[in-house]
Amino acid sequence: MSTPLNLGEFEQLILLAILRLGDTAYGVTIRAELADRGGRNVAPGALYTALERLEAKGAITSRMGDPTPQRGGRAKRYVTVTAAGVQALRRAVRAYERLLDGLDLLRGVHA
Amino acid sequence: MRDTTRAEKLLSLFTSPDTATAIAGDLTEERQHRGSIWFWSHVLTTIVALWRNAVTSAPLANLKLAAAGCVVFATTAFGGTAAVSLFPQIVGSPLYWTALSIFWWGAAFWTGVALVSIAPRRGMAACAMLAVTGEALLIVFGVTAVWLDLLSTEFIIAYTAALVVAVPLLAGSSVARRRMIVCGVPALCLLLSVATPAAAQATEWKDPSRHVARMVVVDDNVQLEVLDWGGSGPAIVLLAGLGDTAHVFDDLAPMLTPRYRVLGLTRRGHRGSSAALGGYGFVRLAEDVVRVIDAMGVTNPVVVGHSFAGEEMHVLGARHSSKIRGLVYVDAAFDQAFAADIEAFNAVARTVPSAPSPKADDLASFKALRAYLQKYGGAGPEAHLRGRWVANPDGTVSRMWAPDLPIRQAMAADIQAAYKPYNPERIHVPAVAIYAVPKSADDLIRLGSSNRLPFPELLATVADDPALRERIEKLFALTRERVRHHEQWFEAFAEGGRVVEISGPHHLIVSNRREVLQQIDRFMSSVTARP
Repeated sequence: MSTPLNLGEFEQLILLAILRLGDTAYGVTIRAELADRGGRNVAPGALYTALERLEAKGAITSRMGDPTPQRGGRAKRYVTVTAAGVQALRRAVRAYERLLDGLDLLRGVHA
Repeated sequence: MRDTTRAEKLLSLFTSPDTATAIAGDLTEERQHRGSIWFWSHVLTTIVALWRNAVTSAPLANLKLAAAGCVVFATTAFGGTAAVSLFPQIVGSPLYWTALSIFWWGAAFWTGVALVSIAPRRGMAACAMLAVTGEALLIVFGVTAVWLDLLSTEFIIAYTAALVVAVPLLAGSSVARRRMIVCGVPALCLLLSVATPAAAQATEWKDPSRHVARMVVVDDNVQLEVLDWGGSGPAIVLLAGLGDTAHVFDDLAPMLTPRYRVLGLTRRGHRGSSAALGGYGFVRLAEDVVRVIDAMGVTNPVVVGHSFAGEEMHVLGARHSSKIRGLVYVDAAFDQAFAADIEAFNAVARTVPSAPSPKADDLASFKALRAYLQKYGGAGPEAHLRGRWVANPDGTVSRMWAPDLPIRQAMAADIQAAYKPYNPERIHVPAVAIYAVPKSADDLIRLGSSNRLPFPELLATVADDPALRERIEKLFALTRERVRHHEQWFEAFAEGGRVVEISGPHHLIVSNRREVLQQIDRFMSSVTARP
């Protein structure tokens, strides 16, 4: 990857959710994780278009699982974050850390 | 389960099959605890999101596809326009907007949309984009049509078809894109290439009468339309009344051709003949008839004329008696000096309601006009109506035809001069004068007279209105009196002239064709039997 990946805030949240879920990350679980941990109710349409974008950027890869009856016999599409995806995420987190340094933003919120 | 399949199919139009399967599965999984409303609303919002993503992620590619669609659209549309213009009779007809603007342009647009839809991967996104644009344009077009007052039944049918054609097209292209295009588009083009000439066929009106029309020069820069219905036997020349053309005889003439050679002519200043700026005196008009007789090579014809033609016939019988065998006046022999003195009669006539003038509905088409005229005295042949009335480009009838003002003025001046004083030379040929005269007061209302159009509806009112009944009786008495005067005048004017009465309105040619035919036959046998 010659040019580094740029990730939007929403894309970063999705990548983090996928990393947390490990082998079980697919549409339904990602949305649930984003709702439980991220406090964001994400519309399916928004998630799937973001996943398409992330895959096009090379930040994630996907594989089809086995069909299950409760899904109307449709396979799950599991996603995993690629090395390039992890790297881009790391860069973004570092940028956050550098920008947060000295701001004491969270203390003010909890006070 | 079935819903999952449907959702998967819809989604697959906007994304890869694997993704569509996974999304459909995810939504089905969640549906178990969220319900089917949630399921379908998220199928739809996901489709919209995927579509937007497809369009915005590669705007250039989509624009290219849209442009390709527009090129197909424009090519087909201009081809269609050219095809429609091959049939000039459509232009200006009620079918014009239908054939041109909707059938071809609408179909062409959807052809473009359908072709775009087969483009791999992004096809459907661009296709939907074009379809939305198309529907928007159609709505604008529809509003414009309402604003311009272009609505007609044909328009509404075609417009609705153009609006809803998107549904089968898009549905078809989503189910079996390539197959639909391969079979559908040629089928559509074939349908249109058949529909356009068929529409043209339906629009075009052809004069069904079996006459040969030709122009005969009768004066400097004056040509008259002469209709030759053929036939063999003694010759008959037909003269129409003021304002009418020779086509008024299109129904009568074929009944004469088995026994006679039949010609008709349209006098100068009338539709179909030259718009001469003068020469409307009776002597000159009669001269025109003689020129036609000579030019057409008929010998010794009997001249049959309606209404105003009586004035030409007087001159023919007086000054050209060697050229003609006899004269049949069809409600055409009037003592014009007495006709001018009609005020007392009119004062009574005004107290009896007359047939209504044609309303907007009656002028909506030639068909409607025909129905109106049939009710009030008869319509006559279609070619006669089309010669007598002016059609608007949209197929409605605008008004009665009249020559341009300078010609009208010349005509009026010449005729007035000839009537003052009214003193026609006596005729020297056998003649019969048919008068349109009612046999009873009821007939006056039901069938009309020289001065009155039939108004059959009035009879219902008369039963309950003794005063009206009395006025009608009076009008009938006066009508009879006036006709008797004209009849007596004619018997004195035409030596040995015979008088016949037919109960009907002034335009006996269209209202009482068979009785007129009988009288012509009777007259013909009397004059041709002469040594």
